Parts: sequence; structure tokens; C-alpha cells
Amino acid sequence: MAGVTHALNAVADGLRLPLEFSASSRHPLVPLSDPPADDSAIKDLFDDIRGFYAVEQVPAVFRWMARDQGFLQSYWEATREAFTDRTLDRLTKEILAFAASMTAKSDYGVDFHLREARRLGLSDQGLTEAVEVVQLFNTVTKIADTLGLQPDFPARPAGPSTA
Amino acid sequence: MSRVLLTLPEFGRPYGRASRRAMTDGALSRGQKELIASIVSAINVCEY
Repeated sequence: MAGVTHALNAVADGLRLPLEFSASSRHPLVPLSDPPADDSAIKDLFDDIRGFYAVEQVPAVFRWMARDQGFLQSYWEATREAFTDRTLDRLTKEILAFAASMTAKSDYGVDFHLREARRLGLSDQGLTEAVEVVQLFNTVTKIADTLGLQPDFPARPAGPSTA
Repeated sequence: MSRVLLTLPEFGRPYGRASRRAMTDGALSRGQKELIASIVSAINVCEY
């Protein structure tokens, strides 16, 4: 989930794609044309994306990817899987994506994932608490890296998880 | 980190209070908050 979020933000911010839900003065560096109306594979993908995010217009980052239908199909499948309810619910994943986007200073990601988290039920208090933790740990990581601190706890070996 | 923060107690003590307050269960669970802390560390490529 963190990897997909980071990559989508990198593409969206790199291409200056317009924010989906907030006013923005930035203009995309590339044209975002609609796919051909008779392309049923793209239409099915776009319908799935619109349904997943409950939006009328497919987010710009996926419209960009529609230039290459095969790539969009595979990448969307991976993105959908990463954000689907499993051990972690979708709201928690969207809160994490929001935190990752804030930390990476991605305007597109903050706009997108805050909207999604709110849509899925994040309260004002929950938002306050999430931002507090982002702020606290951006402080901690900066201090730790600046001083070259070693982890307090040994890394746990990878193994089967019951989570 | 706690030892580092206490080398400058004028900063470390209130920072510690803020940290304890922010990390307790609330609208978000302690587990969710630890996950947020982990993803912030990952994005910042911070092993600590």
C-alpha cells in the first residue's frame, strides 16, 4: 500500500496533475485525453475505478495511465488489491496513505487520501490524532537521522504472522 | 531517543508529554497510530 501510494503520488505530482478534490492552480505538464468511447476494456476499467472511489470522474493519475491499457489494467488491479479490506481495513489504509502523502509532501496524495479517508468515516478527532502522530514521528525521524541513532530494538526476523 | 531528548529537558519533557498524549487510544487506536508512525519512518527512510 505504501509503495503504490508513493508511486501514484510521484506520477501525479511529477506531471503536475490537477488535484482531484481541492482548488488548484497547477496545470498538467501533459495532455489528459479521454480514451476512445469504443474501447470496452478501458471503459470497464474506468467504471471499476469510479465505483471503487465513488467518483464521477476517473482520477487524473489513472486517466494518464490509460495511454497504455495493459499497464493501467495491471497497475489498477494491484492498487485495488492493496487498498481492499483485509487484515487492515480500507479506512486504516487510507489514513496510512494520507500520512505517507503528508510526509512525502505530496499535494496530490494529501488531497486524494484525505478525501477518501473522510468518505470512509474518518472523524475530525481522528484526523487531528493522525496529523499529530505524523508530526511527532517526522520530528523523531529527523532527530534520529541527524544524530545517526541506532534502533532501540533489534529487528525481528521475518516469519509467519498470525495477524 | 528518550535519552537524547532528556539532554535538552526544556524540549524533551514537553515533547514527551505531547508524545504520550498523542499515542494513547482515542478516535484512532494505539495500533493504528503505531502504523502511522511506521509509515512516516518508512517514507523518511529512517531505520530508527
